[in-house]
Amino acid sequence: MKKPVLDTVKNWVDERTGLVKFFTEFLHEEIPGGTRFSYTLGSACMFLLTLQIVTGIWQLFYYVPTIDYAYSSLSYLRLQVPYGWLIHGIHYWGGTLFTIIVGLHALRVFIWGSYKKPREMVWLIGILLILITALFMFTGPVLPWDKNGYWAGQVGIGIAGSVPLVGSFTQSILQGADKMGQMALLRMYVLHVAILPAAIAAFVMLHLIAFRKYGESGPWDEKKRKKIGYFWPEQIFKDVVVSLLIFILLVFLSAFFPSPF
Amino acid sequence: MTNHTPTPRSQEPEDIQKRNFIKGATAAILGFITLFLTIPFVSFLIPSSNEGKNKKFVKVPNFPSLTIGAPTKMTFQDVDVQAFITSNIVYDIWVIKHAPDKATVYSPLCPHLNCRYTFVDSEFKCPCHGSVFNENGKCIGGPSPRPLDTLAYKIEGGELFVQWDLFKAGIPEKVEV
Repeated sequence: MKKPVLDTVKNWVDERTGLVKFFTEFLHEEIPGGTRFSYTLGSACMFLLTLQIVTGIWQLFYYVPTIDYAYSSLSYLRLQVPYGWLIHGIHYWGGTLFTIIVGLHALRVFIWGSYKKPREMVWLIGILLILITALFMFTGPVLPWDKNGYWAGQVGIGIAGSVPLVGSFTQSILQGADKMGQMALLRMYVLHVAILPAAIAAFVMLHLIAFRKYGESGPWDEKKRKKIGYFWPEQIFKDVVVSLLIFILLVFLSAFFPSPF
Repeated sequence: MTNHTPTPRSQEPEDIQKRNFIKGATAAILGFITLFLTIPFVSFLIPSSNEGKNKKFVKVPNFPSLTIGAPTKMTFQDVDVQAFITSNIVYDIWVIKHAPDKATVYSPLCPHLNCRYTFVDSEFKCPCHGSVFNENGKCIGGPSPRPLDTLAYKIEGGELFVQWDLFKAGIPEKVEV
């Protein structure tokens, strides 16, 4: 009997890459204790990160990282570009929401003890990801070069400069000059759109690889652990429902609480 | 991945139906989010059109002192606005003054491929591909598909005002870009 075309293509790809087998195992991962909404926070972080990356790249089509045009280019994007208000709003509120969800995710992992052996690497990489998130939240607001952004950058770099021994050096690297100006804006820009995204992408991949080695830790009650759930489709469905709620919240905030400028 | 024999899934019809429903619902939600975002993301990239924007006449200095009958290259300045960037641009044009209240104004760009031409030996000559035009703008040699493009103008109080415009190159019709 002739195989369907899709099966033929899948087999051809899998023979040469192993991808189909990888994704099949990935999707049919068992979850001790069954699927839960409390497990959706990690996927919510991934969803928000994807939105941040896409909306961030889209804004690069209009944003100009110079002190002459940073503010006016962003104003143009928000007021005159079709749906610019939405894309900028999603990025603005997405950053705040991402920080909150990352914090809740870490809290859930801590309360459930999922950081314990043999999952220490997942936890440690996660802490690194929290630090990278904090750096995103520091460099991003400087880019509009408005009053809030300028002084936030000035104060933050000043705090970095107050660290003993390495402070002056750190401040000079971040500022790129004797005072806050074009060089500082450029450095915040490069950090925010190139270095930090590359770092977060790399460490998120490591985080997922380490996580998939042992999977979800599950509930500490042995009786509850006997129930088995599956990643696909049950857990993914819950992940997607939470992602939809986050998405609706982001659009609502963008429409009714636009970023101040 | 944990190393153990996977637990087989229930093959009860209700469980299979439930799984299929969940798969469909997941696909529907993801499809909705993707579709909802497609329109903004595509519209965001489409540049705004200049159609319908008011074109203005800009003063060209030194017209009163121009020699009658002699094609002269003249320049004028205007403000150019591109999105959020405003800059001064210097335009050049060819002007033939016929009388204090009459002139012919040519675009400086050859209709063949938009090179800048010169006025030599009583003819307009394009150095790029050899198009030649007489003082009336008519193409008398070379590959240009149409005569020199004229620009709209007006003379007020003895001063020349010109409306800058760009036209598509390489076609017989004079069509604004």
